[in-house]
Amino acid sequence: MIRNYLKTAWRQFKKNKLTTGISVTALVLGFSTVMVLAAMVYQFKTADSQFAHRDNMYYLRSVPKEGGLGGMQTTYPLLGEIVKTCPQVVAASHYQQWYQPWLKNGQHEIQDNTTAFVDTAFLKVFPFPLKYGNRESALAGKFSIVLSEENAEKLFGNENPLGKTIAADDTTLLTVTGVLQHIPGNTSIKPGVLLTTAFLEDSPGFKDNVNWYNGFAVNYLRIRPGTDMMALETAINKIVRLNYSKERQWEQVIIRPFSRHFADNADEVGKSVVTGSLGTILFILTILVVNLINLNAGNLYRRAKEVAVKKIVGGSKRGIIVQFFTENLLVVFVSLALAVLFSYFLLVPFINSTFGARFGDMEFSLNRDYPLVLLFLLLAFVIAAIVAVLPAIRMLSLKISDAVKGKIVSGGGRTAYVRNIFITLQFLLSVIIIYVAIILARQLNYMKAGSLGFNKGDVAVVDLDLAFKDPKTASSRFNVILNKLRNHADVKSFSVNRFIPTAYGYNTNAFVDRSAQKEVWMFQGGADAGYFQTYDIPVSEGRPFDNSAADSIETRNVIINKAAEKAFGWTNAVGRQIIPKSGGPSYTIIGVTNDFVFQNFPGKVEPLIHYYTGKQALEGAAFLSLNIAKGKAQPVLSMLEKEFKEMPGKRAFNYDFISDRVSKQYQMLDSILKMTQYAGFITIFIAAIGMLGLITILLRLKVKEIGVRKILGGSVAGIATLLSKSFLVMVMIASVVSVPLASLIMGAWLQHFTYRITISWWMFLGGALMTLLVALITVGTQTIKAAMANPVKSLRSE
Amino acid sequence: MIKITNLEKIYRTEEVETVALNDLSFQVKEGEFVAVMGPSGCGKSTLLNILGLLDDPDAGSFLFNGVEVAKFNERKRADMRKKNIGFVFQSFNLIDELTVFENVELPLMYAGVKKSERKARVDEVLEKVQIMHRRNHFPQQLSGGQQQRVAVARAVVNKPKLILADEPTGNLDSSNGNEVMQMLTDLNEAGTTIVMVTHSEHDARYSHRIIRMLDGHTVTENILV
Repeated sequence: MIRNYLKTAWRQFKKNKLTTGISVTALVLGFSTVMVLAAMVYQFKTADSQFAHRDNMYYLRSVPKEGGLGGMQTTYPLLGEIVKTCPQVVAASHYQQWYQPWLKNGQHEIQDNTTAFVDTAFLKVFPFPLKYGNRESALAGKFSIVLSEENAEKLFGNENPLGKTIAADDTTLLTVTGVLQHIPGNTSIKPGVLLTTAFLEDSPGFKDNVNWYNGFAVNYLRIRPGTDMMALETAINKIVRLNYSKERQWEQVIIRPFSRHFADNADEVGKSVVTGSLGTILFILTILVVNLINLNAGNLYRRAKEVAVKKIVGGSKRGIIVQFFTENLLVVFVSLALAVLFSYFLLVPFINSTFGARFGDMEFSLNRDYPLVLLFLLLAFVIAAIVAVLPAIRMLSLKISDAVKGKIVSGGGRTAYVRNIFITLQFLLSVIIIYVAIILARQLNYMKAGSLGFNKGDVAVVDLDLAFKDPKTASSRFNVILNKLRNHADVKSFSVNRFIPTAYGYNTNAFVDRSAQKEVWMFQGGADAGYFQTYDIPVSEGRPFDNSAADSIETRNVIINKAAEKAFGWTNAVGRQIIPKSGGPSYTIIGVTNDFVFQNFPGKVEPLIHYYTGKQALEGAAFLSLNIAKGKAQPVLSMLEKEFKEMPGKRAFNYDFISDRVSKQYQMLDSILKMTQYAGFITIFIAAIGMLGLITILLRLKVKEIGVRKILGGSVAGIATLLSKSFLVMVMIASVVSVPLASLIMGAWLQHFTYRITISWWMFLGGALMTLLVALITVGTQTIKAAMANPVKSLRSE
Repeated sequence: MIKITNLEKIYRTEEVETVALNDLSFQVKEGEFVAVMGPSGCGKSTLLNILGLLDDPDAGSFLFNGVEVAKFNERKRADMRKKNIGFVFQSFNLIDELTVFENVELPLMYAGVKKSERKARVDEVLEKVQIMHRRNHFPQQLSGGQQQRVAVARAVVNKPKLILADEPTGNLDSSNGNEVMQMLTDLNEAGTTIVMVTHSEHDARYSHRIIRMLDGHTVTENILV
């Protein structure tokens, strides 16, 4: 019997090439998009699930007075104290990203920005599988190094590197004691190089910062199952009260389950990608199902006679439902298979190139992702069942005696009503996505076009972090270069700094205005004398830093931004004194800059303080920013490239423009826009081809009506309008009804942005007109074709 | 074999009530060949639908082989139909997606007959209606006469006790029509009971008895043999 069903199904497909083609195309496009989005969401939701005892893994967060989640950083000595005094902690480790030494084996040299310094117990907290080495002892020695599989290959090729030595920064010899197996993309921490905290603690820059005030330590713990977490948290906070410096004693340290780590650290944009993806999945699936039900229902009327005959000669209801189910299941599974290929070869590379950095590259492993595979198989069954069974049941309820005589030719009455609701729903969902895409695009363009408060056009940024082989010579060469630049006619100004807009980091500190006993948290940055001029950041009160002043005086001066001035409640900040809450001498405010976006693109401008970084020099600088006369950038940069050749480094001379760096800040939002536009295109395309299929079926049923109308004097235009009208009305209804829904969704989304557009009517009008145009073309071509047919022929064919 | 008594069927729409069968009573004996005639709208097709268990009467009794079937539910009717009744339609009603062989095989498949036996029985009946050479063709590739021969083959392959034919020659030219009528006669002679609705006096003369209907009930009965 099944063979018979399959045979009939195949013949049905051959006969209804158009509708089968439409169904498969819609399903392939829809499924592939849904698959990729679902995989992305799944990856997000199952992040870090590879650790068998994840439920016993925790990490620490410091919560500020105001509450909330706070940050992941605590003071460095805290963890040691916890391990010493809390027996519930089975294992614990710091995860310090402090600096990244260059690692060298013969000719091969790498530097990995995921290098982390960890404690001996790290592999007990994180049971990463090892390709080589012993997990118990791998991190026991001070000079041990554990590499990722990828880094081991870069340094040693395919050989087993256990016991081999690596030179770190050409000074220290490290012994390879382990190689980690490949770590899945959706893992919170993916160290490329593991070094020991014992090694880190010996480096002078680090040691100076270790105390009970500075908070930079990230801590992971493995806790005995069944532990009373409240008691443990109380014990930890007792350590805080006992040891933390006075300024930080108010801090509450909480123990967060590691299972929350990935989501805790995803930002609002990342979370809205997940929500948006789930919404899009739901929309696309609904459109697909509605589309198939409509096409099936349309076709079933042509098949009413077949069903009736089968019933007359003894076919059971169940058999007929199974037959329709088989047909649909075949279509759905073939589409699913094609969709897998489509997404694997086209969509996943696209997603990885756009979202990879944020969500981790999408990787597929049957071992881990089988629930997703099962889910899709189940989904295929459910979809096939819904789209087959609903129309089939309707079909079976028709009177056999009428069906067999061809008395049921069109789905009029209640069926037409249901069908119209379905078509409207389909367009409603598509139009919502189109509206969302339009509003999203407007908001992004608005943010990009908006003033950032600094010159984002012409400033060239030369990378100074090149790991110079001879730092001393490089430094003096660099001074020669700076002198040349000072006298260069085309260089308007330049800055040698560790900070540039887009790269301030999240270094904050509290400052106190003693006179008013007011405290303000500020982001901290540094600037040289040329910084504000180079980036055209107006110093609206006071003055910028002065290169000619004595360093000893100027380093006691600071410049704040308007946001900080406002936060302190001052009208003129120049001349005022502030002191860091952590202690130390006071600073004098000598200038106030206008607000400019320095971090968190395109977010709100937070209070910001700049210290003076001293006379311009290579030491401590990361960027050389140049404001060059229009059209003269290339010769200046070529000159610099030639000069830099005289001071070789491990990295080659490289530069870009601040505009490129700003664009990169928007990469995530651009990706969301691209994804939304793609989803919008897919849904409207599916809805349109669905309507094309349906109208073709319905017009076939109306051949006689069209013929009669023409014979009675109906014009082609008149008949085409009559036939198209109801479809276009449905699209119009969808366009109108979706306006409040889209406004609601996007209104909520826009709340995330400080600078946002207001949603206005023309955005909807644009989307509605576009959808109507698509519908008009789809319906119009078919109805005109039908209306132009020779009536004699059409009546004869009836 | 068939005994109907005081059968009534009324079609109701919002505005109109149409009486299709009005206090109709008659009998058909096993082995009989009965033709039902009458003008359009007299209730012939309604009668045939009820006899074929495709529709149920509003009132009255319908005994089929001594069993009251008027109040049967859909499942019981389907079962009864499958085991006892074959249909031949004016518009052939073959399934376009199935070949000649598969169309004829369908009732046997639904009856759960084994594959080897199905093949033997289909071949035998196709041979009988002389369409064996076209067994792998699709209905659209056949002439009207050939299609109706396939339809007859499908109606008889399950060896039904009763064949209901609804204007079996309506879509055929006279020579093809005569061929089909001859086939029905042969079947009848082999023992199958036949009830045929027709407009054609010529076709009706193949039967034993003509029931003439008007406004939902019988007006005359002519016995031909």
